[in-house]
This record gives sequence, C-alpha cells and structure tokens, in this order.
Amino acid sequence: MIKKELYGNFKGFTVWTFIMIVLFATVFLMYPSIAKDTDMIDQLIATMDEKMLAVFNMDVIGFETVFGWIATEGYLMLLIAGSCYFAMLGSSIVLKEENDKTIEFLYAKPVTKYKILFSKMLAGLLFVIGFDLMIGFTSFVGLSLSNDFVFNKWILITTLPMMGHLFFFLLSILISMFFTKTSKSSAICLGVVFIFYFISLISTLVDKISCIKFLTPFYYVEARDIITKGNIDIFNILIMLVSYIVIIALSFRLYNKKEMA
Amino acid sequence: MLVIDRLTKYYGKTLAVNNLSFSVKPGEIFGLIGPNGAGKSTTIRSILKLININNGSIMIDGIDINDSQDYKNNIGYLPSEVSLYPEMTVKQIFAYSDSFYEKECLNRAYLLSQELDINLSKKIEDLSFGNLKKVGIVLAMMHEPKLLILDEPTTGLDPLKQEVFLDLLKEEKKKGTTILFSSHNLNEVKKICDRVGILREGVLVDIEEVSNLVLNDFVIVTIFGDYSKMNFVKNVIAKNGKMVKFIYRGETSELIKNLNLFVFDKVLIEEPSLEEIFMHYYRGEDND
Repeated sequence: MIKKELYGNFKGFTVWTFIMIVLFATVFLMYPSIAKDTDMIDQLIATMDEKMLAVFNMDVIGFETVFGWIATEGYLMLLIAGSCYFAMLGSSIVLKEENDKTIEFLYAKPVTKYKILFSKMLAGLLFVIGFDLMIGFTSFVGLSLSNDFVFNKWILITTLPMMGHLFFFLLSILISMFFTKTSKSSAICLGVVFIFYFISLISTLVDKISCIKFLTPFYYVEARDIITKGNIDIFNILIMLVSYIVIIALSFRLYNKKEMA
Repeated sequence: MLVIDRLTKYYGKTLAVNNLSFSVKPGEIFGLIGPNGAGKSTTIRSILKLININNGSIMIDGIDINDSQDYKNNIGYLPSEVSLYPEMTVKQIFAYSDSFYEKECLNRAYLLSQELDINLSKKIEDLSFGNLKKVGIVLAMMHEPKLLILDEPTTGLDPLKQEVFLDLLKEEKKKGTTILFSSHNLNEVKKICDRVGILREGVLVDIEEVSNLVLNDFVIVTIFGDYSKMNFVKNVIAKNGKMVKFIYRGETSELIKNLNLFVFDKVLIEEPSLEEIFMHYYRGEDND
C-alpha cells in the first residue's frame, strides 16, 4: 500500500520538489548581486523597524554571508511553500480515495482502516523526508560552492523544515476528516497554513499579543536558534512531537468512525 | 454462511434499512432485489463495513464481523460502479489486489481475464464501463472467496459476456461458493438464484424460493364485469370501469370456487411473469 501511495503521488512530489530546487538554486544564484550591494541593503535595514526585521530573522543575521541569505529568505520560502504543498497533499491523500470511490476497492480487502491510514501517513513522512533532503542537497551544493558550508548548521537547517512540513501534512489529514470534497478540504488546509503564518507575524510585530506565538507551529520551527546558537531548542521539538501524537491519535479515531460517502 | 440479524441503518434521520434479518446458506445463490432506495446497497455496504450500522449484527461463517479483521479474506466484492486507480494498468491493479492476500491469486486472475477477454496492458482510465466491470469481476473472484457479494453485476456487460459471467457464477456455486447477488435484472435472477429476498423501503418484504415465485400459487386474474362484491380481489394491478386485473395468491381451485359465487362477463387467468410478481411486492400487498 505504501508503494502504491508513493507511486500515486509521485508526480506531484516531483513537480513541487523540482520547482523548489529551482527556486532555491535561484536564491543562491541571486546572492552575488545581493552581496555586491550589502552596504546599501544594510542602510535599508537600518531604517526598518526592529520587529519587522525579527519576522525574517534579519535582526540576528545579515546578508554578509550566503548562510545568512539562505537562513532568512531561503528558509522562510522553503518553510511556507513546502507547508503549502504538504497541506494540500495531506488534505487529499485520504479524501481523494473517497472522492474517486477507489476507497471501496481498499475497504473490500482484508486490511484495517488503521493500516490504510498508517500507510498514507508513512508515505507522507517519506515524501517530507525526500522533499527536504533534495532541498538540503541543493543548499549543500550552494553553500559548498560559496565556501560557507558548516555541517552542523546545514543539517539543522535541512531537518527543521521537515518538522513543520510534517505538522501541516498530518494536520491536513485530520482536517480532511471533516470534509467530503477534496477541493474544499485543500482550500481550508491552505488557509490554515496562512492563518498560522499570520499569527506568527502578528505575534512578532505586536508585543501585547506576543504570547500567541506559542499557538503556531512556525514558532517551533523557526531558524533563529540555528542562526544564533547553532542548535535547536529541544523543548520546541518535544512540543512538535506531542502535537504529532495528538493529531495522529485524533485522525485514527475519526477515520475509524468515518463512513464511505 | 451469512447471517444478518435485525440490521438497522440510519443516514442522518433517514431510515435506510429497518430491522433486516435474513441468512444465506453455504453454496446458495441469494438474490437481493428491490427498487432504488430499497436498501440493497446499504445492506451490502454494511456487510463490508463500508458504513457503520446503528443496530443488529452480521455473522459470516459463524464469526461476528465486528470481532474479526480477517473475514474479508473470504469475501469477494463487486460494486455496482467499479472505481479503480486510473493511472494503473489492469495487470498492476491485479498485482496490487494480490498483495492483500496471503495466497497467490494472480494466476487465477489471468485465467479469468482470458475468459472475459480483458486486455491486461490497458490503463484503467482507458477502459470502457463494460471492461471496467469485467476487471471488477476478476478482482472479486481472483482469490477464490467463500462468499461473493455482487452489486448489480451484469450492468454494462454485453449479452455475450453476461452469459459468460453467469456461467462463471454457476461454476463457483458448484465449488461451494456462497453468492449474494443484488439485481434489477429479473431474468438473471430467475436464471441463477436459488432464493430471493425482496426489499422495499428498507424492509424485507419476503424471502422466496425462485422456483416458487415462478411456478407456484401466483396467478394474474382479469375479471370483466361487476367485481365490487368480490372480497377476494386484492393486490390490484389495474382497474377500469367494469374490469379489474389483480394478482391472486393461493390455490387456483379455491379461486374458481369463489368466482362461481358471482356473475360476470368473462375471466382470464394467466401465469404471471417474474416482473409482475415483483411489482406486486414493490407496490405492497393488499393495496386495492
């Protein structure tokens, strides 16, 4: 079943991964022209509000190095675009079978609903790993060619987005349990990604409501600690792991009760 | 082989199947017939746990389906509309189906494909409705299940392939396979079913041996003349002024005795077609 899931969703995965690699490579290729104008950019940054800079982690790192450029612009782009892709994948991976009525084929086989859902989740995890490793490889090549490669930071900046992407994949599966049409479910799941990002933005910009940052997964997977300390906060990772467990448990419970439309 | 006991299913507030009980004996071909919305598909979907039932129990081979995950090893299912993965070829879908069973079933799938004239290298998305149905038939039968559940199995098949398919079912029956068969096609019901359960508005109206339905105690009676005082006129199919056509169920000699008590112009007594018998059930008994 996992093979079938990988095979069935491989086209979308290839397209998204290719686009992201091209975008990421473009970000690297843009760096020389950014580097030429570092002074001008620094002057521009100096005029910007501190909180606005914090949104893009530009308060802790500048564009003097390729890593700085990737850890700010590249990372954010990867995190958001990847989250959109995995939200769409999660919103359809279960529901598409119901919309296309192919679920009838599966339900007639000696296989439990748990196994069906598990194989879809596992396929999603493999896609997340594959997607981020491919992007990671691109950044490895880019950073190596720029003589700015630090293994510790590279491995963290490659693996941390996986946490966010997996979160949105799993959350979207859970959300899709409440829908019967893939189109509606995908739209809502994409909306959820942007709502969480908006919460993350607002919480950084407005001090009074900064506590709401804990509500968004973007807070737990931001690259700030990698940039400043060269590590990631284990507590944040634990919170993400707990959220996975809760989402997976709820998804299994709802899926077991769900009827074929 | 299959025992359904007091099965009740609601969709929201709509009652789809009400207190349905029947059993299918091992090696029997049992037809489930009824108009659209009668509850045939709901019953089949309940057996396969595609939907959750509100009440009742379903036993297959003596095991409650809620206590077993493996019972589907012994079930072959053909839905009324076969939906498969469009990007796969027929061969790939057979291999995928085979992967769910412990025993090897690909050889049988290829044999059945030959009998039904299926092109294994074609993609599912390129198959016509009829060919897709044939692939569905192979998928239902390839693992030699003990219980075959077929929902409107011949819809979309050309008459030649319908015959091949019905022959396949007869062979399965000889091997001891139990078959639950839902159909609108009364001719095929007449040809292959041993018994039929007649469903109307979610209720099982009757279970009959097909031979009884065809041969016994049903006659169509048409009386020309004044029938107003004839209290045995029930199950009226048509009436027009001084003519009434009705289904009479009982001994024909008794009918003639009753008719002799009245004066009328003419009487016509005919053997009913299976369609007329079923229409009688669908409309409900005693509606004059």
